[in-house]
Amino acid sequence: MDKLEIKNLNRNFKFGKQKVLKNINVSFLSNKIYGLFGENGAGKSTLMSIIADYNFPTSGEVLLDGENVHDNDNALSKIYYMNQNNMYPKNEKIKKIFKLTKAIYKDYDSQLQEKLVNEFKLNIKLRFDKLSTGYKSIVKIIIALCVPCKFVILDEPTLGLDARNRDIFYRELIESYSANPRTFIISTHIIEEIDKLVSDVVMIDNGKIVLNDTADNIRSKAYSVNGPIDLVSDYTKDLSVIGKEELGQYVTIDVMGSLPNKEVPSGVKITKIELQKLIVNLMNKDGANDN
Amino acid sequence: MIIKETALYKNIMKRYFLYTLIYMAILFSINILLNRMRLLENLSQIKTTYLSFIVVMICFNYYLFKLSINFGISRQSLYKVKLSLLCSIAFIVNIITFSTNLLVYFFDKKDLNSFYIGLYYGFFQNNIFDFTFMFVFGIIFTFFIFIIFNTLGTLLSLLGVVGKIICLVSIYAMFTLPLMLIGIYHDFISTDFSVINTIFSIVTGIHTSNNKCGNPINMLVTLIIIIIIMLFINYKLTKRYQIRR
Repeated sequence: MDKLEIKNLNRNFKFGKQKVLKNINVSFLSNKIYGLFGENGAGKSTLMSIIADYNFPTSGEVLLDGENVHDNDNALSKIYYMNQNNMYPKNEKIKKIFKLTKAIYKDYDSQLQEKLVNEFKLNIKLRFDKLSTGYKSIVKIIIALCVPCKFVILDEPTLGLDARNRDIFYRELIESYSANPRTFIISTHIIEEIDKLVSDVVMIDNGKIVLNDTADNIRSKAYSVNGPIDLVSDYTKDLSVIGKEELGQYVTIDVMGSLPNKEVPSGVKITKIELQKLIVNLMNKDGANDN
Repeated sequence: MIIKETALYKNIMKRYFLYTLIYMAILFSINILLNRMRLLENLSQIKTTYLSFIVVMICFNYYLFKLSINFGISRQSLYKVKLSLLCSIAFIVNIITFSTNLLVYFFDKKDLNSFYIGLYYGFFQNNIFDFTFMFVFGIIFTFFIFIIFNTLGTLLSLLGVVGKIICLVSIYAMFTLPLMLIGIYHDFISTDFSVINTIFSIVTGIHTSNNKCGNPINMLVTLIIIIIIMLFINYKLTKRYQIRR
């Protein structure tokens, strides 16, 4: 079973003054879909680029099945990183980019590529630099879904995509994953659209991993307690509060952890929190803690 | 892993050839139609500009790095692809240059524009030996130019704008300062150039004291030594290559 391990990883910029990643320890197991979340500048893209050996860590290592991925052809052939930079020659036609990718990867899925080109209504005769931001993302998405790699890392895959194309992407991702299970690590800010998709959640804040658990576990531990201020405050007083919203006499308090073994007061309502809200709460909470 | 490297190699070769073909066709047509240049004169001129064009392409090789890293090719393999490209292109460029020189040499010597023929031709006192050595020398010399500019391009792509300026100024100073020092030495300290002449003669094989043709073997050894040093520097720089963010 393939396993991508990140051990004691640090990354500094500006001669060590700016610490982007701080002692990251996380593992990505095979055949799972991970959501990698965090605020802008949290260090997600830096982490992903180090995993794919685009950039180097200041210290620490990335291991694939125990082998360091750095400068390792065998390990790197199992990783594909779709990133926000343009990695293809600007004036190359899309069909030539696909042709090159097919020549590079022996088991490249040409049939899926044809299907996706039709579904996304992509004109492959155009040159890459003539495409809109959305269609550039589509070209990268098609390649990412068709390459035969065990670990596919998608950095903001839906950048510039309209609602229709985002929908196609999510559907095709699930179909492709079901037909050929592999690990996807998806970083996006539109959490509500992929929260049903991801099996595991990794959250980075200020260069540190602040959450690393299965999506089901996280959902089962996070609640919204809503009702009159005094009753809700009393009910949640010993719980780990991650968010609070007041509206007149009423309050909604988001908590994480097990609920108390006491009766829920009349007028107080408890509901599960959506992943998006939970992540936003955690970002706010950590931000507040940092300040 | 060979599949990936070969596919990338073929792609880049096709790209280089397409661009150089277009460039040569345009230049050739302009020279013939607008400048009314004769065929041999035209060939002789195109040879030089063609080499400069290839050098510029080789210098800007950041997209080769981006493509290779995007397809999971390690920096070590990228270095191998890069060297294969440089060797192949040096060989092909030299065939074109050599053929042009041969044509011009045999048909109209006044259009001849070859530094080897000017400085070293006739050393072996046998046409076959001289031309064979000229061919080998041409490959090594072209590869030397390519590796110098590729290394420079690789170094510059590691740096930011300020770093690039500092680097270029330093390189300029490195070449200019020794010449200035030699000039100062000659004007104010001594007019004896015998030591410098001896070193120059050993390094290049060219004799400044008489009109004898130079020894190309000396120059070849010098080029090979510099190439080995450059290969090492290029390897170290390629290993440091990272995606700019």
